[in-house]
Amino acid sequence: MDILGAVIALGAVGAAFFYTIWPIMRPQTAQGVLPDEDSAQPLSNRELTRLLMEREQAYKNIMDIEFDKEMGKLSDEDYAQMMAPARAQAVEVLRRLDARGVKEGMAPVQVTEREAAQTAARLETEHPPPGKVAVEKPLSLDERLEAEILRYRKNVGKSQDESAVSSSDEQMKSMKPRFCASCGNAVDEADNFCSSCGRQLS
Amino acid sequence: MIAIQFGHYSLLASLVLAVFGIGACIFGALKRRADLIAAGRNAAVGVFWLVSGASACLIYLLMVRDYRVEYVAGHVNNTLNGFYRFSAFWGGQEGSLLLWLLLLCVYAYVVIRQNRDRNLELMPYVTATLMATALFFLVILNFVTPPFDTLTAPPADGRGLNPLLQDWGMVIHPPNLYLGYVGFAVPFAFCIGALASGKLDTDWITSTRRWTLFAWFFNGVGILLGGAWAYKELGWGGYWAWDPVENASLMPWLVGTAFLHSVMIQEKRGMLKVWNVSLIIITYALTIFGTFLTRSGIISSVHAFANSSFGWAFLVYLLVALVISFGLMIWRLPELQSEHEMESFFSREASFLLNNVVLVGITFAVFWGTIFPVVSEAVKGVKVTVGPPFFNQVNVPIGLLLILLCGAGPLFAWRRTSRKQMNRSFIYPSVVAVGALLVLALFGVRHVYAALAFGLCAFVVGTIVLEYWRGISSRVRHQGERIARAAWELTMRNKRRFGGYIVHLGMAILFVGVAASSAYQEVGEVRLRLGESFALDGVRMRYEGIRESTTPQYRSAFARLGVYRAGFRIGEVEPEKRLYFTPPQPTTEPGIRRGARSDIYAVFAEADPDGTATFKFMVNPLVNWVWAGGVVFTLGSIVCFLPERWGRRRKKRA
Repeated sequence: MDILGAVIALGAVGAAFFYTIWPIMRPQTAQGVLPDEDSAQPLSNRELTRLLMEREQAYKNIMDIEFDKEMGKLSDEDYAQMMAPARAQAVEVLRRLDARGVKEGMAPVQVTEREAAQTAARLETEHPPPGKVAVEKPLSLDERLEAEILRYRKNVGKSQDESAVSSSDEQMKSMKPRFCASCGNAVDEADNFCSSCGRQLS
Repeated sequence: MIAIQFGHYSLLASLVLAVFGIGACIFGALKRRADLIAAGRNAAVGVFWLVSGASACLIYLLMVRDYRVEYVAGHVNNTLNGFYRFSAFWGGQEGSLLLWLLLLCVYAYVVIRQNRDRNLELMPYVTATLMATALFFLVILNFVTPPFDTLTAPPADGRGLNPLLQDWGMVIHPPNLYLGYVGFAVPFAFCIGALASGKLDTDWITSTRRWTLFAWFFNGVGILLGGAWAYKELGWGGYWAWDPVENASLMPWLVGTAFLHSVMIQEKRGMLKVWNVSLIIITYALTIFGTFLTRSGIISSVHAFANSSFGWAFLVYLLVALVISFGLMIWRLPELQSEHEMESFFSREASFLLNNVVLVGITFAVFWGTIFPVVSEAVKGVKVTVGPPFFNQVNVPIGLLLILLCGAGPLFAWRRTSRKQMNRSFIYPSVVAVGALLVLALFGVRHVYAALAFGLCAFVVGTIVLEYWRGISSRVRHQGERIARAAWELTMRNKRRFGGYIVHLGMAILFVGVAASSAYQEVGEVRLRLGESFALDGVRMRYEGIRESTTPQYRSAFARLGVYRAGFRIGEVEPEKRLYFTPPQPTTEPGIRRGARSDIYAVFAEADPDGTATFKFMVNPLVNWVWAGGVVFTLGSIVCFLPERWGRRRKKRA
């Protein structure tokens, strides 16, 4: 009985040891090198990843401000004051993404860092000719921001916690405040011109 | 014998594998060798299977009452039923340490499976950290308190399980608490992974958010179950005594609560990185410290079920873990700078930070009170006992501030809130709080702390109702939903925020119960003849008879007491006095008549030969609110934990 016990125990232990050293013994992975996530990534990819993550953060900020406004925690002035730089930041990120040839719809909105890195790598390798993915009538950056935030909201509606209250895109569009693309000032739905800088609104 | 040998060798082999795993993971990560990392990972999986096997062996040996094993002979006997034989697995020193290790290995296994193709940079260090913790327990289980040691002359009957542990609450409380304690090792391991690998973004936080929540939830529920057990089983009429081991379970929960709040600031604003790293290191250290307090017997406690002299090993491990963790943090300090500055004191960030300071403050006070007897003995040679008065005096005012923050925090916006908006937000909860205070004053509540606690809890409830009302009315306005649907959608679309509010609501209910039952408890001790009665706080208890019964484990005497209110009989309670045969030990089982307004709690102290009996009576107002608060806390935690897409209405496509 004692011997049987020892044999069973040794068998289990032996199996565990074999399982452990198998990756080293196996010829395919011998001397294998860890797939590198960061340092192996080309510099341009890393830059693109960072931009995508910046865009992610900028959209999140906008959503947070909208949620706080919706919940009555921000006055109109506070809202406009906080929203203007938040949107300006988002527009700036979009401008930089544009400069790198990443147009609307090429990179998914709402990404984790890993997904951003994968997207960046894909965009770098694919390099689709500009214009092929661009929409027929090119949108201004601000219009693009509106569209992307709507897409983002839709995605967040599926997976993020602190999303805005609304669920229907159309309704969101109708209730969502508009902003001047030039100065970021909050404007009414019916306005044709910005009350702050006078620019014609699209 | 097979099970004994298998268990013994499995633990020994696990130790070797753990050492190899740690080395392979760290060396592999440094040299970027995928094969070594895979071997380290497999070693951790091997440890998981071997430790599971060893645990199964010990459970089997307990179930078949194999008295050749010292642990089995010491913790079960011939009369113990299967349920308690199973729970004897964690009824003693060796078994409970094995349970710790088992849970750790299960978590490590799950983490490895979850991250097969994620967090590749972090995982070798995460596995190494988890295995280092496992290694510590394996050293103790192999060389200090081996669970599979055998006796040369096995007894015919075992010593049995401590009678106090023979209660369903005690069966689920320790594993529950351990689920929490051990769970904190996962976010800690990811934090160490982030520090060691230099990937210091929020990935380590988002990857472990659910783990932290899981650990924190079970830690909390474990504390509540412990309280419920103490109330029902120990017979002193309370549920919390600031006992060192209770404190040991509370401390990681408090710091874990702080961590859960402050990570949100890092996720949203890229701030408080050093603070978050420190919090999770401290939380982990406190879980090890808690296990040390429970297991070392260094401080006398109601939990002295398992005493030993290996406390030094825990302290050494604790010290090493702290030095390495904080060393890594200091090394990475330049990369842990905040990305933003705090914009205003009147912001969500600031209120979270203040809540953190308060939680850490309470933890420090509890820690100091807990270790003071040891410190005083070391310094002055006198063991000074620090009792509930110290803890209450220090923690009640800080606790009140915490309730205030619990209500105020949600009213602030991120970044900053203007004075006008703040006034608008604060007015409703404040009116509720003042209204509650006025009503309480009318009803004659004069206890300052209790009244403040009730008022502040009303403030918290006011805040939560306001937040729901704002969210619901917005949805009703924009989505045309009905109120119930709007409330559901609001909660399900913002699980983290509104689940958190439900947890706050649970805490408010719990605090009302704590304040009322500690400020307004009525106690009386009396000796009664058959037929005599005793009145306490409007309740009269009449001693109506005594009966005896015998079970295979114990002999017991029940005293029957009729309970009367305003002259009407509203029921009866039967406090019990038990005498266990093995081990011979008397216990008291209080008779409790539970009610929403108050519990009537009777303890049968002793029966004299002259027919008189001594009783201790207590009227504990609103004590059931503590448990009700616990249920709401559980619901809120479940909402926070639910998968993000769960429970939402699907959008209809036009």
